[in-house]
Amino acid sequence: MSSHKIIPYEILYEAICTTKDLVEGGPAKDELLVLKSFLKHMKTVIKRYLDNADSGLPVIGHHFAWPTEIFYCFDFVPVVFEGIPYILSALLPEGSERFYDIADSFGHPYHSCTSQKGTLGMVLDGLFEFDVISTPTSPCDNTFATYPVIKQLYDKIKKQKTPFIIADMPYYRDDRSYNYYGKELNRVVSEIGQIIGQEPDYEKLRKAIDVNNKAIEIIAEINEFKKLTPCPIESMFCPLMTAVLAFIPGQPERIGFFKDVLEIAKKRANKGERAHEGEEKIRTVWPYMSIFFDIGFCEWLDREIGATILLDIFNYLFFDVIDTSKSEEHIFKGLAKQSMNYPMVRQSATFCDDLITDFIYLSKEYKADCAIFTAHLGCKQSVSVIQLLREAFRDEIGIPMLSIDLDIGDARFTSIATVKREIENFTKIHDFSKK
Amino acid sequence: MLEDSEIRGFKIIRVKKTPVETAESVFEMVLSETGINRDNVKFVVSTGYGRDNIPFSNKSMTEITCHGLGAHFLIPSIRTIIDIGGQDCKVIAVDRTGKLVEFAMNEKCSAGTGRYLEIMANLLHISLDDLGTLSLKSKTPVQLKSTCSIYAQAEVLQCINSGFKKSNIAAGINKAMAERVYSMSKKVKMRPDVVISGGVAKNAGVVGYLEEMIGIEFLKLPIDPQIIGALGAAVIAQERYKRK
Amino acid sequence: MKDYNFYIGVDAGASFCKAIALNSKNNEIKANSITFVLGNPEKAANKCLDEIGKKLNVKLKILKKNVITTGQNGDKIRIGQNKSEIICIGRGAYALDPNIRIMVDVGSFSMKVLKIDESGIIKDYLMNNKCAAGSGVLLELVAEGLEMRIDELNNKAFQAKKPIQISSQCSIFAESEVISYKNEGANIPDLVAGVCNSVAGRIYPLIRMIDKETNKVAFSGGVAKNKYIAENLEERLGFKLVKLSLEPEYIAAYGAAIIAKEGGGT
Repeated sequence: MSSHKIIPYEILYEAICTTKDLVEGGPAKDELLVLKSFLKHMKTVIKRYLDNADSGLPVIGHHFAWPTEIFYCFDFVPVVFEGIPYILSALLPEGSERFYDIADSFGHPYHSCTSQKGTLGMVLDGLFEFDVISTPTSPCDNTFATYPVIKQLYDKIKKQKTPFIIADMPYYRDDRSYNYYGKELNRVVSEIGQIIGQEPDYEKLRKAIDVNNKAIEIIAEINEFKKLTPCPIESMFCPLMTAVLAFIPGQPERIGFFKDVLEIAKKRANKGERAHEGEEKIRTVWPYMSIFFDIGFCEWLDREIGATILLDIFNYLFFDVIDTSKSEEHIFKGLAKQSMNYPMVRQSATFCDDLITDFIYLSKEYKADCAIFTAHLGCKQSVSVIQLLREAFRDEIGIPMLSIDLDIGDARFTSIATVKREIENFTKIHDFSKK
Repeated sequence: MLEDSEIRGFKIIRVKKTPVETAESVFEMVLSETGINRDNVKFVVSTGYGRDNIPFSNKSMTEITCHGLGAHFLIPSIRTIIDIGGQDCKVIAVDRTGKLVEFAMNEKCSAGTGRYLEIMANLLHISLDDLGTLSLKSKTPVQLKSTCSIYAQAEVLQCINSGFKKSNIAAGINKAMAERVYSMSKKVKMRPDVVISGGVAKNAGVVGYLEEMIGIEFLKLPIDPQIIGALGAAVIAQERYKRK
Repeated sequence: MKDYNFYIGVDAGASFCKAIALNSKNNEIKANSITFVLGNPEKAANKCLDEIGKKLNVKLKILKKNVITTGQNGDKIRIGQNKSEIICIGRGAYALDPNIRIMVDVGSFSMKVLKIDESGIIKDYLMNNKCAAGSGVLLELVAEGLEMRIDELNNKAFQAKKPIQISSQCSIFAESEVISYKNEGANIPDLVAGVCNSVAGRIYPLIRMIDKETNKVAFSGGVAKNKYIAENLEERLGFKLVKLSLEPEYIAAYGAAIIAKEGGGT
């Protein structure tokens, strides 16, 4: 008997099972390998979360920008707010639009980020039961604006006071900031421990970090393969990796998924193949996220256009592993460093120069032909950098950038047909085949 | 003009060269129609675009505030007012007392204003009223992709040339119009009762689509919707005078 | 022997359809024609081709062999292959003057700016195709509102003493604004100059967004026929625009014809 504490995860589990059946039952035996591995591991993990919630473990609703590992001092169930609306918008045929509408009709600003708006809709619909809600003060204005609202409304609906734990993330990226934020993380751990009545178990934390360390190493290896022409990994890996980072922290499935991808990449690289038949015509980098609301989009890009997404903002990790043999203080500082340089946090929570220099560096390193920027309606931070990015790409490395206005999790804002038309036009005008 | 919370008279005229001239003449007309002496008028509140230059006005208020109060005066249960004029479109949310809570407004882009419908009716060579009634006959409205009035104009022209039925084109136009208003109305939290005012309120096509999109049935105003702003101003005038 | 190989570019814009015919020897223009679209691009394109056929004394069937269509309505014409306007404008400009680095094209509906490199490849482009603010349609509406022909606007604007600033963005509201100024008794040349300034004011930032250094900028599209706007743009830029040897509204059609000659759409 299920306790129905996290209904969106139940919906997600159903959606994963259905998609898995469809993908595996389909005619294509050797295709969509990365997606298959993703669904397999996600299924196990989400099932585990649901079982753990049923067995009475505390549920922590949290921001993706945490190093989620810090909660692994405890036995708990993580619910990542930003992940749910987007993974559902990919897997459900009707998307997450229902939840956006609930939040909209409540009066939440229509132009706020759908990642949190969707979760707010689910909260208003009474689909969650949290023991703790927790977020850092970064990476974006939307976070400041939406989390307190989510917390207050959740309290109002449940007629209770839910603990709301915040960590103060500094603006600068220097040693002093890392020390400070490390202490903040330590404080958060002890406060949460008191709330849920568990002693922090640092051995468990070390184990979770070891898992992530291993994953970081594999990701670095995968990224090396992406430098090959043609790129042996399909575009779909990019959004899937985003989901794995968010949903599977510190657990063996994280290693499992990336290992699978690495194996696939090795096999194809040996034969000099790409994931699909036909040649690789265009190598693209996406300085923001790829599109979630249409699961077939990446396949279309690979097959019809011959374009590969090499990297989006979530696919290159600008941080190192943490030495778990050292003291707790050292570990927390390492986690602070990781968290503050986490994808998207690194680029939007501080000066915008990082976003620009990172992607100029990556475009050169990965031999990109062009950049495609998804100007996400909700993300004021990144949208404000479009012109600077465009100039940097054009003037420093001479590649063009296409910017498309859309909402990455809402199919109604800009339809996938319009997105495809814009990309087609762009690729025709620039005629990348001449290179 | 109000007397003891009763409407004594009202008048609508086309704007003249200057706001002052317009206001003077409409004021004179109301006075002569109701037979009231100018000295008996206790308090005048002006509203609208030229509100700050009216010499005989005691106070000026924004049209948003006045709209809210005017609608509240007529139907006290009103919480949301959608007003679509010729040059703009506004959505106003009020509280139980008619006080303004929040509002959204588009006056920059002609798409989603009365002007849009005017242009389209001209293209189809039909009256504005027919645009509404015609569209009710349609089962398969045409899809208009453009937002911009001018682009949509070209699209409609092409639909006409490709031989689409007038009723389907009219329905497509009304649907596109409703979509524009709906996307703007999302900026404001919609609570019942909702009332729709302005000339578009007479277009059953737009109203129907909009009700469907928002999911709330609208109320109709008992009097000419064009005077709501002036009525709100009169309500303020009465209150101000009583407070003195 | 008479050469029967003709290469046609058809640019079906929002208001006008333009066509240009080249023959196989060089890029010399053999014939051109222009006509209103009036909501039926296919008919307009056929009319253009008819006219060219008459001028060259060639049968339509022969003309239709090598056609490239382009423009806002290009995809609605079922003759030949369709190419993006950006590519055609770039190709046309490069053929006319390989030194041009930036093309600004303002048609009746949309604005486009493109950057071309030394070998004619398009490096970057910006396009406003969601809103008609500041495009040629504004001039059409204003001319209509002031009861004059669109080509009269130019001369009227040069007579201005103190241009009136137009505050509306939307072309339709701008027309109303102009009419209400006129009813208030505003000086017509000042009004027209104000409208032209507002158009130039919308074009200028697009050029600066795509390049900050070059002064090899050329201006095409129907709006470029308005000298006052071109001069106002030069004033804002601080240098002279590159002069084109072809009427500005034909650039895209010319580019399309060249692409047809170079082997067409493939």
